Amino acid sequence: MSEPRHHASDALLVAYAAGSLDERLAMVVATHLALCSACRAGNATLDAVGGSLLEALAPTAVAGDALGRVLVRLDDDVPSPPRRVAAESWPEPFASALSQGDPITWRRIGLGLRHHVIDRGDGGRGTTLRLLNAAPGAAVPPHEHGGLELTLVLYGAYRDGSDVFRVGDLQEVDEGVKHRPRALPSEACVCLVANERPLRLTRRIDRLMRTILRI
Amino acid sequence: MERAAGDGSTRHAADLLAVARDSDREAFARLFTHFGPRIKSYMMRQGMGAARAEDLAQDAMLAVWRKAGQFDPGRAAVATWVFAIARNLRIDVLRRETHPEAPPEEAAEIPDPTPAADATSDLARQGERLRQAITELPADQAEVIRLAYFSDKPHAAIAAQLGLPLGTVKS
Repeated sequence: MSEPRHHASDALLVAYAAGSLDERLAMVVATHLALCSACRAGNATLDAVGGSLLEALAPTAVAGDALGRVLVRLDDDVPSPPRRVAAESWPEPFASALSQGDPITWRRIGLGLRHHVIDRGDGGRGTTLRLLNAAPGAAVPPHEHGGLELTLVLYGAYRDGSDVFRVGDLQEVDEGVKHRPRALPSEACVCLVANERPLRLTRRIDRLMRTILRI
Repeated sequence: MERAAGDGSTRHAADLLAVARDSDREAFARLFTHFGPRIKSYMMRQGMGAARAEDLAQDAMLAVWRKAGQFDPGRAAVATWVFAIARNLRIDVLRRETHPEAPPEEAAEIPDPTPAADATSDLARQGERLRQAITELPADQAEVIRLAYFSDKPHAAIAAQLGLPLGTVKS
């Protein structure tokens, strides 16, 4: 597999390294890192920035018996981490997350698009995470975003404007940007998509469809 | 009381390896003395009360003991590794969900270039360079970086603030 050409922005990598990114956005970034050595290198640098900042923090005195209290816990049984059964054919850590959730059930949402919702995002108001499966040539209706949208290509490829996004590529679309991605005609395209807030379809007919289809 | 950072980080690495290899409690105690109070500060900078920060600092150091075997001195400096543990613990506690971690390199399809033989000292130098670079930044820019790491701001707010001098920080 070739290296991705569309990367996480510095701001996104900083938020990920700082731990301030919503966990659904973080899942997309973490899975992109598995596929992108350039962003892994950037992430390592930003973790090192975190280490440097931690090192530079003025210490706050811990309780007098803090060390003693930890020392007596050293021999406690370690809780076994949840068993990770990585689903085949998906990159980590998404594969593990997927294996802990419901099995994939593709729901048709019309226009050659199907999706599997992984996280509805706090009752539909927060960030959502889903797999989007577009038939060859299928287009997502023109839409804009109430917040950040991250799309990671897992299979196939799509075009958005003059850019083509292939496996491993991460597309970061900011609030207010309107776009119309379309799967390449040659094969189906599967993407992991996180939306900070439900997207707004921009054409009335699509809005109507959305009401009907409840996407 | 700050010791020279380069020496400090080399000694931290030796201590952490001793914990991993020999379950060396004295080495752990030294790591605790150095990092425990800093992790507590880190948690308090995130708006946690002193008691909670104290508990999490202890929990983080317990995780340092348990995960010591995963530390790879060729891949990260000790402070970096401890930072990641403290950050992930904080996320776990706040969201009660696991922060998706980047998978170990083996799981990734593209191997990294082989680390240089003296990677440990390289990392120590890199950490020192980063610290130096942050120190030398104009106060407002340094504060933006600290804010990015030490406050739970939404991504957009940070992005808006970031005229981030990452180019300065990246070597």
